Amino acid sequence: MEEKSLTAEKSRRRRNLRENLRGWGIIGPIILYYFIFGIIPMIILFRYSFMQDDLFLGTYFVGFENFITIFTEKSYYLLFLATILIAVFTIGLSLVFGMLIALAVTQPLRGRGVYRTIYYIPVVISMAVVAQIANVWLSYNDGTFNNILKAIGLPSVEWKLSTFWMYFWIIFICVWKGLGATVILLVAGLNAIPPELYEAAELDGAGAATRFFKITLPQLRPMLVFVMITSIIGAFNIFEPVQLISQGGPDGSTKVILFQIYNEAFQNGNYGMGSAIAVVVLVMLMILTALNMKFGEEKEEK
Amino acid sequence: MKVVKKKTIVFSHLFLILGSLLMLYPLAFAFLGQFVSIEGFYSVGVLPVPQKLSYLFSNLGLIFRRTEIYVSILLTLARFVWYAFILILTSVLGGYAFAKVKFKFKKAAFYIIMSSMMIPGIALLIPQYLELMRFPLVGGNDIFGKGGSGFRDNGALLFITGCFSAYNIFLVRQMLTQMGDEYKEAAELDGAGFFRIIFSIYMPMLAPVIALMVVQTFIGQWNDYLFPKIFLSSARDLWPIGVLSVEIQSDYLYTAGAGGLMNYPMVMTMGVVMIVPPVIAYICCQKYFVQGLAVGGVKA
Repeated sequence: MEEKSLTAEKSRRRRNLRENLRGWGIIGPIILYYFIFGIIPMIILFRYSFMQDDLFLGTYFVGFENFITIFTEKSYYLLFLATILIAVFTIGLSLVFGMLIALAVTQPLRGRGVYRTIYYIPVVISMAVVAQIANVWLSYNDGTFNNILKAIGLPSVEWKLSTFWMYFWIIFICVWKGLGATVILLVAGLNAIPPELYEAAELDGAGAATRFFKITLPQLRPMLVFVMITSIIGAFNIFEPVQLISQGGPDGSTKVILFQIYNEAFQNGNYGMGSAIAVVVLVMLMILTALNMKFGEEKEEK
Repeated sequence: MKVVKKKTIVFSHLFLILGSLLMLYPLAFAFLGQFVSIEGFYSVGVLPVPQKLSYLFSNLGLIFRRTEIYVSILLTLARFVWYAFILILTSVLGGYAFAKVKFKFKKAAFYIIMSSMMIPGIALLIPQYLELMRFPLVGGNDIFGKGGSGFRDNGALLFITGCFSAYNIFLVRQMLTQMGDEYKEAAELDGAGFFRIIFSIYMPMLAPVIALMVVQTFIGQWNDYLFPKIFLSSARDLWPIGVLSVEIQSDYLYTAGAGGLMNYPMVMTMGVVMIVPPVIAYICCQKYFVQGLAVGGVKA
């Protein structure tokens, strides 16, 4: 009896050891990898955000100087304004048009699968290649758009020297490229709304507008918050249209954050300033993610 | 069954068709632009009118005459195969460990790995670059990462970063948790080993998610631009197709050819060559995109 429980205890222990070895055998290397290519870079980032690079002096500590520059010097805080401006318009237009498309595509239409496919196609295409195609349209001397304007007797437009038009085209390309992803998410959200809600509202004689504002929008709120957060993160990653079409111009007005990080660090070799901008972005995104989680929890409590 | 007014249906169709035309316009423009001569492109209107099929072939000839393009495509495909392999491996094993293996500090390990989702890629660019260029014992570096050039201009850079995805691990764990332990217990009684259980019993059931990972990896690698552009800026022979194609387009955008005209049809052809593979991959594997979304539950 005694002996039997002893062997049972022994085999249980052996099994525990085996499970621990297996678990950590798999997870250990992944955590080690994450430590090397995720955690250490974060430490380097924070360290560098307090440093500056100089051709003669090398890399040296400057305290909070980089951050003070970011928040006080016009050319730096304008980066954030430009990014936010592009983000607000891109996200706003994507949500409005995305919602209209999602509402239309969830109607019992023939061939709605085809529509969904078409709207998603730009999502899987290289943004850089699209930006280069847009360059053919927007060239001043021989671009397609100016050729069309000339043909119908209108004066040519200096697309790339106009702040308005550069914003317009960057926002246009971003909306065009990302709309399909927004639609897919909104469709998933719309399909998750229980149809009984609409049936009850219809019995009460509620009109289409009432149903949309009283049922659809409130039910869709968590999904809308999710779409907003992912879109904002996406907006911080806008790079290709700026680098390839506007080059930050005219006059630096379309310089966005990632473009500036690229320029500071990889063109000018000032890794310190680039890191400081990245730290500010990191903090902003973490606050946003936390807000997202808070909104998500509120929904579950209800 | 919900009754929908005919007017709503007609209006929806009209709206969606109009939108579809706008979505497809740049693609249609690029596609038709290939069949136009260099001079002819200067009188192109809203949509290019195709002139001759042979223009496309001469454009394609110009692109595929470059040997660098083959190297670049091979590199891109190698990246695709490697990342598909390593991402599936880490996701399936990691997801399985978190779903079915009992080990100490599992919860802590889970939170550590999930925390990687909080780090945006934009914040990693500079420090990863600095780290890799000063990596110890690589490219003549000493143990402290000094003295040499690290991974600078080293093709290994294309395969080092991003070898696991916390989101994919999370996805696989969710699916495996729902699947129950019966399969595992039955297989254990039959004497199947640990890895056999994972790869021949659970992995086939994960097929839709794995298919989605493969397609997404292909599309991501084919289009990858920013990372190789920054990390291998001076090593043109190591550029994947996502960077090389854009550079080739620039050659034709900003350098005039014979007669002082820009070869814009070439920009279009290079664009179409880049656009076609990911679009085909997406259309063929569309159902996995929808399924994958359903599994993820879009954690909202």
